[in-house]
Amino acid sequence: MGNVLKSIRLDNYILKAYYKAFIVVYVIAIIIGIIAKIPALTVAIVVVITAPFIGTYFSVYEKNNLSKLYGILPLGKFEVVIGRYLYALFLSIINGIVSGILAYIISLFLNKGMDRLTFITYLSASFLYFCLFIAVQFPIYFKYAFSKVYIFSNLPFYLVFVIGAYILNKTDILKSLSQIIQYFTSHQNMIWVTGIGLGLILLIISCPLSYLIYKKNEL
Amino acid sequence: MNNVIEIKNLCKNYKDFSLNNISFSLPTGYIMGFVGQNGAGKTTTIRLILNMTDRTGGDIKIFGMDNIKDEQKIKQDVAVVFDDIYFVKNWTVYEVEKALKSFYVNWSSTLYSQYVSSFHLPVDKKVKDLSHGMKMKLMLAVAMSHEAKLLILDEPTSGLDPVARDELLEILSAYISDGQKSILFSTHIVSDLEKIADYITLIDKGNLFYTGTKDYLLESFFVIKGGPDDLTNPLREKIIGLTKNNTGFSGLMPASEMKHLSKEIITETPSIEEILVCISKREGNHG
Repeated sequence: MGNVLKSIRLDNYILKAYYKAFIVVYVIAIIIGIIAKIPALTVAIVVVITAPFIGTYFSVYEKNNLSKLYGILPLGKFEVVIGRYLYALFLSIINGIVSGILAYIISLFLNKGMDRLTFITYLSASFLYFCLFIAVQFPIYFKYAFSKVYIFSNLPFYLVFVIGAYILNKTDILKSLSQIIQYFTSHQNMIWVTGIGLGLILLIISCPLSYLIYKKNEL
Repeated sequence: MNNVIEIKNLCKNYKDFSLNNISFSLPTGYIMGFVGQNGAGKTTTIRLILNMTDRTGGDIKIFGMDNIKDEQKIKQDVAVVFDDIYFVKNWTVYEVEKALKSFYVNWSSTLYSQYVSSFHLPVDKKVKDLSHGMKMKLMLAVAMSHEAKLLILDEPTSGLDPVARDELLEILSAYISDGQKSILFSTHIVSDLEKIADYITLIDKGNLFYTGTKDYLLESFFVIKGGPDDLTNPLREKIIGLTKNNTGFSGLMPASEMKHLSKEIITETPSIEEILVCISKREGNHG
Protein backbone atom coordinates (compact mmCIF):
# COMPACT_ATOMS: atom_id res chain seq x y z
CA MET A 1 0.00 0.00 0.00
CA GLY A 2 2.92 2.33 0.74
CA ASN A 3 4.06 2.41 -2.85
CA VAL A 4 0.51 2.95 -4.11
CA LEU A 5 0.26 6.04 -1.90
CA LYS A 6 3.62 7.24 -3.20
CA SER A 7 2.37 6.70 -6.73
CA ILE A 8 -0.77 8.74 -6.00
CA ARG A 9 1.39 11.47 -4.46
CA LEU A 10 3.61 11.55 -7.53
CA ASP A 11 0.58 11.82 -9.84
CA ASN A 12 -0.59 14.71 -7.70
CA TYR A 13 2.78 16.47 -8.05
CA ILE A 14 2.79 15.88 -11.78
CA LEU A 15 -0.62 17.49 -12.30
CA LYS A 16 -0.35 20.08 -9.53
CA ALA A 17 0.60 22.91 -11.88
CA TYR A 18 -2.60 22.32 -13.85
CA TYR A 19 -5.01 22.51 -10.90
CA LYS A 20 -5.51 26.21 -11.46
CA ALA A 21 -7.51 25.29 -14.58
CA PHE A 22 -10.21 24.17 -12.15
CA ILE A 23 -10.80 27.78 -11.12
CA VAL A 24 -12.21 28.41 -14.61
CA VAL A 25 -14.22 25.18 -14.46
CA TYR A 26 -15.67 26.15 -11.09
CA VAL A 27 -16.56 29.67 -12.26
CA ILE A 28 -18.30 28.33 -15.38
CA ALA A 29 -20.08 25.63 -13.34
CA ILE A 30 -21.29 28.20 -10.79
CA ILE A 31 -22.55 30.56 -13.51
CA ILE A 32 -24.42 27.74 -15.29
CA GLY A 33 -25.82 26.51 -11.97
CA ILE A 34 -27.15 30.00 -11.19
CA ILE A 35 -28.51 30.70 -14.68
CA ALA A 36 -30.23 27.31 -14.90
CA LYS A 37 -31.38 27.69 -11.28
CA ILE A 38 -30.23 24.12 -10.73
CA PRO A 39 -27.44 24.20 -8.10
CA ALA A 40 -26.79 20.46 -8.56
CA LEU A 41 -25.79 21.18 -12.16
CA THR A 42 -22.63 22.82 -10.76
CA VAL A 43 -21.60 19.48 -9.24
CA ALA A 44 -22.33 17.59 -12.44
CA ILE A 45 -20.31 20.00 -14.59
CA VAL A 46 -17.28 19.90 -12.30
CA VAL A 47 -17.31 16.10 -11.95
CA VAL A 48 -17.78 15.57 -15.70
CA ILE A 49 -14.91 17.93 -16.58
CA THR A 50 -12.63 16.25 -14.04
CA ALA A 51 -12.49 13.18 -16.31
CA PRO A 52 -10.81 14.76 -19.38
CA PHE A 53 -8.68 16.85 -17.01
CA ILE A 54 -7.11 13.67 -15.64
CA GLY A 55 -6.34 12.65 -19.22
CA THR A 56 -3.98 15.64 -19.19
CA TYR A 57 -1.72 13.52 -17.01
CA PHE A 58 -0.82 11.35 -19.99
CA SER A 59 -0.07 14.42 -22.07
CA VAL A 60 2.31 15.70 -19.37
CA TYR A 61 3.84 12.21 -19.14
CA GLU A 62 4.57 12.19 -22.84
CA LYS A 63 5.84 15.76 -23.10
CA ASN A 64 8.15 15.45 -20.09
CA ASN A 65 9.79 12.13 -20.87
CA LEU A 66 8.35 10.63 -17.71
CA SER A 67 8.70 7.04 -18.92
CA LYS A 68 12.36 7.38 -17.94
CA LEU A 69 11.42 8.65 -14.49
CA TYR A 70 9.08 5.69 -13.97
CA GLY A 71 11.83 3.44 -15.31
CA ILE A 72 14.25 4.38 -12.57
CA LEU A 73 11.91 4.71 -9.59
CA PRO A 74 11.53 1.80 -7.17
CA LEU A 75 7.89 1.47 -8.10
CA GLY A 76 6.11 -1.51 -9.65
CA LYS A 77 3.90 -1.22 -12.70
CA PHE A 78 0.90 -2.54 -10.81
CA GLU A 79 1.33 0.19 -8.20
CA VAL A 80 1.59 2.80 -10.93
CA VAL A 81 -1.66 1.67 -12.54
CA ILE A 82 -3.69 1.25 -9.37
CA GLY A 83 -2.29 4.55 -8.09
CA ARG A 84 -3.47 6.32 -11.25
CA TYR A 85 -7.02 4.99 -10.90
CA LEU A 86 -7.16 5.86 -7.20
CA TYR A 87 -5.77 9.30 -7.91
CA ALA A 88 -8.50 9.84 -10.53
CA LEU A 89 -11.10 8.64 -8.05
CA PHE A 90 -9.81 10.89 -5.26
CA LEU A 91 -9.76 13.90 -7.54
CA SER A 92 -13.36 13.29 -8.60
CA ILE A 93 -14.42 12.83 -4.96
CA ILE A 94 -12.65 16.01 -3.84
CA ASN A 95 -14.15 17.94 -6.75
CA GLY A 96 -17.55 16.41 -5.96
CA ILE A 97 -17.30 17.54 -2.34
CA VAL A 98 -16.07 21.07 -3.15
CA SER A 99 -18.64 21.56 -5.91
CA GLY A 100 -21.32 20.07 -3.59
CA ILE A 101 -20.53 22.77 -1.03
CA LEU A 102 -20.66 25.38 -3.78
CA ALA A 103 -24.00 24.00 -4.96
CA TYR A 104 -25.33 24.32 -1.42
CA ILE A 105 -24.16 27.94 -1.27
CA ILE A 106 -25.79 28.60 -4.66
CA SER A 107 -29.04 27.11 -3.39
CA LEU A 108 -28.91 29.51 -0.41
CA PHE A 109 -28.15 32.38 -2.78
CA LEU A 110 -31.11 31.43 -4.99
CA ASN A 111 -33.34 31.01 -1.94
CA LYS A 112 -34.05 27.58 -3.25
CA GLY A 113 -33.46 24.52 -1.13
CA MET A 114 -31.32 21.65 -2.46
CA ASP A 115 -33.71 19.10 -3.87
CA ARG A 116 -32.35 15.72 -2.72
CA LEU A 117 -33.60 13.81 -5.76
CA THR A 118 -32.14 16.31 -8.21
CA PHE A 119 -28.86 16.43 -6.32
CA ILE A 120 -28.29 12.68 -6.17
CA THR A 121 -29.44 12.25 -9.76
CA TYR A 122 -26.94 14.80 -11.08
CA LEU A 123 -24.16 13.56 -8.84
CA SER A 124 -24.70 9.88 -9.63
CA ALA A 125 -25.08 10.47 -13.36
CA SER A 126 -21.99 12.65 -13.54
CA PHE A 127 -19.97 10.14 -11.49
CA LEU A 128 -21.06 7.33 -13.80
CA TYR A 129 -20.03 9.40 -16.80
CA PHE A 130 -16.68 10.17 -15.09
CA CYS A 131 -16.04 6.48 -14.47
CA LEU A 132 -17.04 5.52 -18.01
CA PHE A 133 -14.67 8.14 -19.38
CA ILE A 134 -11.76 6.95 -17.23
CA ALA A 135 -12.53 3.27 -17.79
CA VAL A 136 -12.41 3.72 -21.57
CA GLN A 137 -9.57 6.23 -21.84
CA PHE A 138 -7.02 4.93 -19.33
CA PRO A 139 -6.34 1.60 -21.09
CA ILE A 140 -5.98 3.50 -24.38
CA TYR A 141 -3.56 6.01 -22.85
CA PHE A 142 -1.57 3.28 -21.15
CA LYS A 143 -1.17 1.60 -24.51
CA TYR A 144 -0.59 4.49 -26.91
CA ALA A 145 1.05 7.89 -26.79
CA PHE A 146 -1.45 10.57 -25.75
CA SER A 147 -0.81 12.76 -28.79
CA LYS A 148 -1.57 9.88 -31.17
CA VAL A 149 -4.89 8.78 -29.67
CA TYR A 150 -6.32 11.89 -28.05
CA ILE A 151 -8.98 12.47 -30.70
CA PHE A 152 -9.62 8.77 -31.19
CA SER A 153 -10.00 8.18 -27.44
CA ASN A 154 -12.83 10.70 -27.30
CA LEU A 155 -14.74 8.97 -30.06
CA PRO A 156 -16.65 6.57 -27.76
CA PHE A 157 -18.24 9.56 -26.05
CA TYR A 158 -19.26 11.24 -29.28
CA LEU A 159 -20.65 7.88 -30.37
CA VAL A 160 -22.66 7.56 -27.15
CA PHE A 161 -24.45 10.82 -28.00
CA VAL A 162 -24.98 9.89 -31.65
CA ILE A 163 -26.24 6.40 -30.81
CA GLY A 164 -28.35 7.79 -27.95
CA ALA A 165 -29.97 10.36 -30.25
CA TYR A 166 -30.61 7.67 -32.89
CA ILE A 167 -32.22 5.31 -30.36
CA LEU A 168 -34.42 8.09 -28.96
CA ASN A 169 -35.49 9.03 -32.46
CA LYS A 170 -36.12 5.57 -33.84
CA THR A 171 -37.55 3.68 -30.87
CA ASP A 172 -40.20 4.25 -28.24
CA ILE A 173 -37.65 4.01 -25.48
CA LEU A 174 -39.03 7.26 -24.02
CA LYS A 175 -42.10 5.34 -22.86
CA SER A 176 -40.02 2.84 -20.92
CA LEU A 177 -37.76 5.71 -19.83
CA SER A 178 -40.68 7.24 -17.95
CA GLN A 179 -41.10 3.91 -16.16
CA ILE A 180 -37.40 3.95 -15.26
CA ILE A 181 -37.73 7.52 -13.97
CA GLN A 182 -40.74 6.49 -11.90
CA TYR A 183 -38.80 3.57 -10.46
CA PHE A 184 -35.88 5.75 -9.46
CA THR A 185 -38.18 8.43 -8.03
CA SER A 186 -39.74 5.89 -5.71
CA HIS A 187 -36.44 4.13 -4.99
CA GLN A 188 -34.09 7.08 -4.60
CA ASN A 189 -31.34 5.07 -2.98
CA MET A 190 -31.10 3.05 -6.16
CA ILE A 191 -29.85 6.18 -7.91
CA TRP A 192 -26.77 6.15 -5.70
CA VAL A 193 -26.36 2.42 -6.06
CA THR A 194 -26.68 2.50 -9.84
CA GLY A 195 -24.51 5.54 -10.48
CA ILE A 196 -21.74 4.89 -7.99
CA GLY A 197 -21.92 1.08 -8.11
CA LEU A 198 -21.86 0.88 -11.91
CA GLY A 199 -19.13 3.49 -12.06
CA LEU A 200 -16.93 1.58 -9.63
CA ILE A 201 -17.57 -1.69 -11.50
CA LEU A 202 -16.39 -0.01 -14.71
CA LEU A 203 -13.19 1.11 -12.98
CA ILE A 204 -12.65 -2.34 -11.47
CA ILE A 205 -12.90 -3.89 -14.94
CA SER A 206 -10.73 -1.24 -16.56
CA CYS A 207 -7.90 -1.25 -13.99
CA PRO A 208 -6.60 -4.81 -14.56
CA LEU A 209 -6.94 -4.25 -18.29
CA SER A 210 -4.72 -1.19 -18.02
CA TYR A 211 -2.23 -3.15 -15.95
CA LEU A 212 -2.02 -5.93 -18.52
CA ILE A 213 -1.38 -3.32 -21.20
CA TYR A 214 1.13 -1.28 -19.18
CA LYS A 215 2.98 -4.41 -18.04
CA LYS A 216 3.92 -5.16 -21.63
CA ASN A 217 4.92 -1.58 -22.38
CA GLU A 218 8.54 -0.65 -22.70
CA LEU A 219 9.41 2.35 -20.56
CA MET B 1 36.01 -8.68 -5.03
CA ASN B 2 32.21 -8.17 -5.11
CA ASN B 3 30.57 -7.28 -8.36
CA VAL B 4 27.91 -4.59 -8.46
CA ILE B 5 26.84 -5.60 -11.95
CA GLU B 6 27.10 -9.08 -13.43
CA ILE B 7 25.74 -9.55 -16.92
CA LYS B 8 25.86 -12.89 -18.68
CA ASN B 9 24.95 -13.59 -22.30
CA LEU B 10 22.50 -10.72 -22.48
CA CYS B 11 20.46 -10.71 -25.68
CA LYS B 12 17.76 -8.45 -27.01
CA ASN B 13 16.26 -8.66 -30.47
CA TYR B 14 14.56 -5.80 -32.22
CA LYS B 15 13.40 -5.79 -35.84
CA ASP B 16 16.44 -3.87 -37.01
CA PHE B 17 18.94 -4.41 -34.20
CA SER B 18 20.19 -7.18 -31.96
CA LEU B 19 22.21 -7.17 -28.80
CA ASN B 20 24.16 -10.41 -28.84
CA ASN B 21 25.55 -12.27 -25.83
CA ILE B 22 26.81 -9.28 -23.91
CA SER B 23 28.68 -10.30 -20.74
CA PHE B 24 30.56 -8.08 -18.34
CA SER B 25 30.91 -7.34 -14.66
CA LEU B 26 31.67 -4.21 -12.68
CA PRO B 27 33.45 -4.61 -9.33
CA THR B 28 32.43 -2.49 -6.34
CA GLY B 29 34.23 0.82 -6.00
CA TYR B 30 35.19 1.32 -9.64
CA ILE B 31 34.14 3.27 -12.69
CA MET B 32 33.41 1.37 -15.87
CA GLY B 33 33.31 3.18 -19.17
CA PHE B 34 30.65 1.70 -21.41
CA VAL B 35 31.78 2.60 -24.87
CA GLY B 36 30.47 2.23 -28.37
CA GLN B 37 29.44 4.37 -31.26
CA ASN B 38 25.88 5.67 -31.51
CA GLY B 39 23.50 2.76 -32.00
CA ALA B 40 25.97 0.18 -30.68
CA GLY B 41 23.54 -0.97 -27.99
CA LYS B 42 24.67 0.98 -24.92
CA THR B 43 21.29 2.50 -24.10
CA THR B 44 19.55 -0.81 -24.82
CA THR B 45 21.87 -2.53 -22.32
CA ILE B 46 21.16 0.15 -19.71
CA ARG B 47 17.42 -0.14 -20.29
CA LEU B 48 17.72 -3.90 -19.85
CA ILE B 49 19.68 -3.42 -16.61
CA LEU B 50 16.87 -1.17 -15.35
CA ASN B 51 14.21 -3.62 -16.59
CA MET B 52 12.70 -0.87 -18.72
CA THR B 53 12.47 -3.34 -21.56
CA ASP B 54 12.23 -7.14 -21.72
CA ARG B 55 15.32 -9.13 -22.58
CA THR B 56 15.36 -11.95 -25.09
CA GLY B 57 17.91 -13.93 -23.10
CA GLY B 58 20.67 -13.87 -20.53
CA ASP B 59 21.03 -12.91 -16.88
CA ILE B 60 21.50 -9.61 -15.11
CA LYS B 61 22.48 -9.45 -11.48
CA ILE B 62 22.79 -6.17 -9.60
CA PHE B 63 24.25 -6.32 -6.08
CA GLY B 64 23.98 -10.10 -6.51
CA MET B 65 20.19 -9.93 -7.01
CA ASP B 66 18.14 -10.65 -10.10
CA ASN B 67 17.27 -7.37 -11.79
CA ILE B 68 13.66 -8.43 -12.49
CA LYS B 69 12.78 -10.41 -9.36
CA ASP B 70 14.31 -7.89 -6.99
CA GLU B 71 13.75 -4.82 -9.13
CA GLN B 72 12.36 -2.51 -6.48
CA LYS B 73 14.94 -3.49 -3.88
CA ILE B 74 17.72 -2.92 -6.39
CA LYS B 75 16.36 0.44 -7.54
CA GLN B 76 16.57 1.79 -4.00
CA ASP B 77 20.34 1.75 -4.48
CA VAL B 78 20.58 2.64 -8.15
CA ALA B 79 20.60 6.13 -9.60
CA VAL B 80 20.50 7.06 -13.25
CA VAL B 81 21.47 10.14 -15.20
CA PHE B 82 20.24 10.20 -18.76
CA ASP B 83 21.27 12.54 -21.56
CA ASP B 84 18.02 14.44 -21.15
CA ILE B 85 16.09 15.48 -18.06
CA TYR B 86 13.22 13.24 -16.96
CA PHE B 87 11.54 15.48 -14.39
CA VAL B 88 8.40 17.50 -15.02
CA LYS B 89 9.64 20.68 -16.67
CA ASN B 90 7.28 22.80 -14.60
CA TRP B 91 8.77 21.58 -11.33
CA THR B 92 11.19 23.81 -9.52
CA VAL B 93 14.45 22.40 -8.14
CA TYR B 94 12.74 22.44 -4.74
CA GLU B 95 9.68 20.57 -6.03
CA VAL B 96 11.83 17.87 -7.62
CA GLU B 97 12.92 16.83 -4.15
CA LYS B 98 9.40 17.01 -2.74
CA ALA B 99 8.07 14.76 -5.51
CA LEU B 100 10.79 12.13 -5.37
CA LYS B 101 12.15 11.85 -1.85
CA SER B 102 9.41 9.57 -0.55
CA PHE B 103 10.46 6.83 -2.97
CA TYR B 104 13.88 6.32 -1.41
CA VAL B 105 14.46 4.89 2.05
CA ASN B 106 17.92 6.48 2.23
CA TRP B 107 16.93 9.89 0.89
CA SER B 108 18.71 12.71 2.70
CA SER B 109 17.26 16.22 2.36
CA THR B 110 20.45 17.58 3.91
CA LEU B 111 22.52 15.95 1.19
CA TYR B 112 20.16 17.23 -1.51
CA SER B 113 20.46 20.77 -0.16
CA GLN B 114 24.23 20.41 -0.05
CA TYR B 115 24.44 19.21 -3.64
CA VAL B 116 21.99 21.84 -4.86
CA SER B 117 24.08 24.48 -3.15
CA SER B 118 27.46 23.18 -4.31
CA PHE B 119 26.20 22.76 -7.89
CA HIS B 120 24.83 26.35 -7.74
CA LEU B 121 21.31 25.25 -8.63
CA PRO B 122 18.71 27.93 -7.90
CA VAL B 123 15.99 26.20 -5.82
CA ASP B 124 13.14 28.33 -7.17
CA LYS B 125 14.06 27.95 -10.80
CA LYS B 126 11.93 25.68 -12.95
CA VAL B 127 13.52 22.66 -14.60
CA LYS B 128 12.65 24.02 -18.05
CA ASP B 129 14.62 27.20 -17.35
CA LEU B 130 17.83 25.41 -16.39
CA SER B 131 20.73 25.13 -18.81
CA HIS B 132 21.72 21.70 -20.15
CA GLY B 133 24.62 21.53 -17.71
CA MET B 134 22.40 22.50 -14.79
CA LYS B 135 19.81 19.87 -15.73
CA MET B 136 22.54 17.26 -15.67
CA LYS B 137 23.66 18.50 -12.25
CA LEU B 138 20.08 18.36 -10.98
CA MET B 139 19.82 14.71 -12.06
CA LEU B 140 23.14 14.09 -10.29
CA ALA B 141 21.91 15.84 -7.13
CA VAL B 142 18.84 13.56 -7.07
CA ALA B 143 20.99 10.52 -7.86
CA MET B 144 23.45 11.23 -5.08
CA SER B 145 20.92 12.28 -2.43
CA HIS B 146 19.72 8.75 -1.86
CA GLU B 147 23.26 7.44 -1.52
CA ALA B 148 22.94 5.16 -4.51
CA LYS B 149 25.57 2.45 -4.55
CA LEU B 150 25.43 2.22 -8.32
CA LEU B 151 25.30 5.26 -10.53
CA ILE B 152 24.44 4.67 -14.17
CA LEU B 153 25.18 7.47 -16.59
CA ASP B 154 23.78 7.24 -20.10
CA GLU B 155 25.52 9.77 -22.33
CA PRO B 156 25.44 12.48 -19.66
CA THR B 157 28.11 14.56 -21.37
CA SER B 158 26.35 14.85 -24.74
CA GLY B 159 25.77 18.52 -25.40
CA LEU B 160 27.92 19.70 -22.49
CA ASP B 161 30.78 22.11 -23.00
CA PRO B 162 34.30 20.96 -21.98
CA VAL B 163 34.20 22.91 -18.69
CA ALA B 164 30.92 21.31 -17.62
CA ARG B 165 32.24 17.89 -18.66
CA ASP B 166 35.34 18.38 -16.59
CA GLU B 167 33.20 19.46 -13.63
CA LEU B 168 31.13 16.28 -13.99
CA LEU B 169 34.24 14.12 -13.91
CA GLU B 170 35.35 15.83 -10.69
CA ILE B 171 31.92 15.21 -9.12
CA LEU B 172 32.05 11.54 -10.10
CA SER B 173 35.55 11.07 -8.77
CA ALA B 174 34.50 12.55 -5.44
CA TYR B 175 31.39 10.38 -5.38
CA ILE B 176 33.22 7.05 -5.57
CA SER B 177 36.02 8.09 -3.22
CA ASP B 178 34.63 6.04 -0.31
CA GLY B 179 35.20 2.82 -2.27
CA GLN B 180 31.61 1.65 -1.74
CA LYS B 181 30.03 3.13 -4.84
CA SER B 182 30.41 2.21 -8.48
CA ILE B 183 29.66 3.94 -11.75
CA LEU B 184 28.68 2.61 -15.15
CA PHE B 185 29.41 5.48 -17.50
CA SER B 186 28.05 5.10 -21.01
CA THR B 187 29.39 7.55 -23.54
CA HIS B 188 30.65 7.96 -27.04
CA ILE B 189 32.82 10.90 -25.94
CA VAL B 190 35.60 8.60 -24.84
CA SER B 191 38.10 11.29 -23.93
CA ASP B 192 36.10 11.69 -20.69
CA LEU B 193 36.78 8.09 -19.81
CA GLU B 194 40.53 8.23 -20.34
CA LYS B 195 40.66 10.34 -17.20
CA ILE B 196 38.46 8.43 -14.78
CA ALA B 197 37.51 4.93 -15.93
CA ASP B 198 39.10 1.88 -14.32
CA TYR B 199 37.33 -0.61 -16.53
CA ILE B 200 36.13 -0.43 -20.11
CA THR B 201 33.43 -2.40 -21.86
CA LEU B 202 33.41 -1.78 -25.54
CA ILE B 203 30.52 -2.85 -27.72
CA ASP B 204 30.15 -2.58 -31.43
CA LYS B 205 26.97 -3.16 -33.44
CA GLY B 206 25.39 -5.08 -30.57
CA ASN B 207 28.43 -7.30 -29.97
CA LEU B 208 30.94 -7.25 -27.16
CA PHE B 209 34.42 -6.29 -28.37
CA TYR B 210 36.25 -5.94 -25.06
CA THR B 211 35.58 -5.92 -21.36
CA GLY B 212 38.28 -5.56 -18.74
CA THR B 213 40.58 -2.99 -17.23
CA LYS B 214 41.30 0.19 -19.15
CA ASP B 215 45.03 -0.40 -18.80
CA TYR B 216 44.82 -3.90 -20.26
CA LEU B 217 42.78 -2.60 -23.19
CA LEU B 218 45.39 0.03 -23.94
CA GLU B 219 48.18 -2.56 -23.62
CA SER B 220 46.38 -5.07 -25.81
CA PHE B 221 46.36 -2.98 -28.95
CA PHE B 222 48.70 -0.71 -30.83
CA VAL B 223 48.12 1.83 -33.52
CA ILE B 224 50.40 1.05 -36.43
CA LYS B 225 51.38 3.43 -39.21
CA GLY B 226 53.45 2.75 -42.30
CA GLY B 227 54.17 3.69 -45.87
CA PRO B 228 52.27 2.27 -48.86
CA ASP B 229 54.93 -0.38 -49.49
CA ASP B 230 54.82 -1.69 -45.93
CA LEU B 231 51.24 -2.88 -46.28
CA THR B 232 51.60 -6.53 -47.19
CA ASN B 233 48.65 -8.85 -47.63
CA PRO B 234 49.30 -10.87 -44.43
CA LEU B 235 49.59 -7.60 -42.52
CA ARG B 236 46.42 -6.22 -44.08
CA GLU B 237 44.46 -9.20 -42.73
CA LYS B 238 45.63 -8.55 -39.18
CA ILE B 239 44.87 -4.84 -39.09
CA ILE B 240 41.62 -3.72 -37.50
CA GLY B 241 40.05 -0.64 -39.11
CA LEU B 242 42.60 -0.14 -41.86
CA THR B 243 42.80 3.41 -43.25
CA LYS B 244 44.79 4.04 -46.41
CA ASN B 245 45.84 7.26 -48.09
CA ASN B 246 48.52 8.42 -50.55
CA THR B 247 51.21 8.62 -47.88
CA GLY B 248 50.56 5.25 -46.28
CA PHE B 249 48.23 3.44 -43.94
CA SER B 250 47.20 3.24 -40.32
CA GLY B 251 45.12 0.92 -38.22
CA LEU B 252 44.83 -1.01 -35.00
CA MET B 253 46.63 -4.22 -34.30
CA PRO B 254 46.44 -6.67 -31.40
CA ALA B 255 49.62 -6.58 -29.29
CA SER B 256 50.02 -10.35 -29.79
CA GLU B 257 50.67 -9.74 -33.51
CA MET B 258 53.29 -7.06 -33.02
CA LYS B 259 56.36 -9.33 -33.09
CA HIS B 260 55.92 -10.02 -36.80
CA LEU B 261 56.03 -6.36 -37.76
CA SER B 262 58.84 -4.91 -39.82
CA LYS B 263 60.98 -2.24 -38.20
CA GLU B 264 59.79 0.43 -40.64
CA ILE B 265 56.30 0.41 -39.21
CA ILE B 266 55.62 2.94 -36.47
CA THR B 267 53.73 1.72 -33.39
CA GLU B 268 51.93 3.89 -30.87
CA THR B 269 49.82 3.28 -27.77
CA PRO B 270 46.25 3.94 -28.85
CA SER B 271 43.68 6.11 -27.17
CA ILE B 272 40.26 4.59 -26.42
CA GLU B 273 38.88 6.83 -29.13
CA GLU B 274 41.28 5.39 -31.71
CA ILE B 275 40.31 1.86 -30.69
CA LEU B 276 36.64 2.76 -30.96
CA VAL B 277 37.09 4.34 -34.40
CA CYS B 278 39.10 1.39 -35.70
CA ILE B 279 36.71 -1.29 -34.51
CA SER B 280 33.78 0.61 -35.97
CA LYS B 281 35.52 0.42 -39.37
CA ARG B 282 35.88 -3.34 -39.21
CA GLU B 283 34.07 -5.45 -41.74
CA GLY B 284 31.76 -7.94 -40.04
CA ASN B 285 31.93 -8.48 -36.32
CA HIS B 286 35.07 -10.50 -35.73
CA GLY B 287 36.90 -9.42 -32.65
